[in-house]
Amino acid sequence: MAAPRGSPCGTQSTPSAGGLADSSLDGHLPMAQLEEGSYLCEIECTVTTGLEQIAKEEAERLAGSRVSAERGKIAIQLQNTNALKLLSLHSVDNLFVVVGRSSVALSGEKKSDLIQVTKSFLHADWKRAVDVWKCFQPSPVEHDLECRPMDSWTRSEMCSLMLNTSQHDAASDQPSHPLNFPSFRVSCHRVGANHSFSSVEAAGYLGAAVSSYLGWPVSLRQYDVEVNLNVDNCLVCITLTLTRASLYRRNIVHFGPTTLKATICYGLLRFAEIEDGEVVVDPMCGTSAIAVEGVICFPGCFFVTGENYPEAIDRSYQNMQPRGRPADVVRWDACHLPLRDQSVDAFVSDLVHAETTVVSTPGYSARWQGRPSAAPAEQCCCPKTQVRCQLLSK
Amino acid sequence: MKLFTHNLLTSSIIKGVTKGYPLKIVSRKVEISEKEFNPELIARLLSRVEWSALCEAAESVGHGGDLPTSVPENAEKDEEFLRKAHHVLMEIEVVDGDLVCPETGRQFPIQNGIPNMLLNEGEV
Repeated sequence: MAAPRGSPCGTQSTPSAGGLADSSLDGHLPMAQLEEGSYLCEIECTVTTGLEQIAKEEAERLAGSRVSAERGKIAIQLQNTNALKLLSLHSVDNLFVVVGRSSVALSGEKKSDLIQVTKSFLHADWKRAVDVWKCFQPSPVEHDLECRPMDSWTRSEMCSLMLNTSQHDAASDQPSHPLNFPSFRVSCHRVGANHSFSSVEAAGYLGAAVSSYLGWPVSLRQYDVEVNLNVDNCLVCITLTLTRASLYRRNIVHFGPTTLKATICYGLLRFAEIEDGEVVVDPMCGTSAIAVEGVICFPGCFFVTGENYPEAIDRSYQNMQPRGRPADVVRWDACHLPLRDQSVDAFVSDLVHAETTVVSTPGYSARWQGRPSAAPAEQCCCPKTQVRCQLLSK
Repeated sequence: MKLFTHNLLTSSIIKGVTKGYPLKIVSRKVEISEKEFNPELIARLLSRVEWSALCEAAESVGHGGDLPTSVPENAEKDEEFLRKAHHVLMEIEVVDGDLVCPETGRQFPIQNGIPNMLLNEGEV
């Protein structure tokens, strides 16, 4: 995409097409490998901090293409027809399709900065991003994306867009556009201490521009599309949210106060390098979140989970239904594990939550001094395998 | 409680018990249901199983007839044997009953398929 010419403020912004057909991006699939009629898209996935490497490896295995990782997220470039496959990733929380990325030079003057942040994206390929978004919707979306050419926008027109924003906010719950355009809202996530504008202002500016440019009606509460404006100092990225509900809610039905997200459970099991045929024990399992994820992602293993707290046992029982899986729940005291010597290959557990709960339970605090002793665990382990206890920091 | 899990459990946590293995099973309700057969999983789990304890357990719930007294050579390639082992290890569930310590006779109740191995104050 060519950079806009005659930019009124004399700043330079270089919109990239977010990987769509930009051969300057490092590491993406060569064009020759794309199927006819398909194109490259970039999907960003949020990941619990600390699990980025696990997520990157899982995504690379699944997508077969290069994945980049940074704090809290990974970005995958793949053919648009394969994007839905990413819903089966176990280590990511939410998916977003990238509309465009840009580096913007900010002058410190609010109006001009807002215009720069917004304007560079009006040339990005919204149609392709929206096509990817449509694939993720549970029911078919009828929508034709006709956009007014942006070459003629002037600064004064952008400013008047900003004025129009307040009118959009007042009518935020109007019914859908008669031409079945999706309604939308903009959420701005901003990192950086020196911006001349607030997140709300940036969201409003982009919202007004998208509404005028694409003709979509704004709805702050009952929206179809969530447009995310991510500003990290002078790096700007616009994405559309693909997952209505976070993927980490997938397994557990009966939650307790310490239930781990499924994505974190997956990460723990990956860190433990569980292999087929192993016996994996969670000695303080709570609602058995780790074992529930384990039997799905590691079907070649046997999981035994144990708890002493009666309500947690009930929840574990519910979560482990149906009982067709290679797993069992036992009621036990983790200080006195009733497991014979050399019967266990790996212990995987959330000890931090378990300890917090136990220490606050009357009658138990005397037994716990700092971390629970690993001695009972060591006895149960095979001599050739190390104890692989997983400790999470809060 | 599957018989594989029973095979791992011991009452040696009780004060004064030396081995506490294998635990006897007194079953009041047993469910048999077909489970997906995964030969690789069964073959690998065999190295964890105390075979004679398994035979005894299967016998006590009335399903021991088919099992050989010891694991055959090249068991991992013997599909017929693996299917029998799969049936006994995974498809038999003790839903209601007791596990009994072989040395003290102490009973650990099983309810809804979950054995309760918590000890009382004096047993620790």
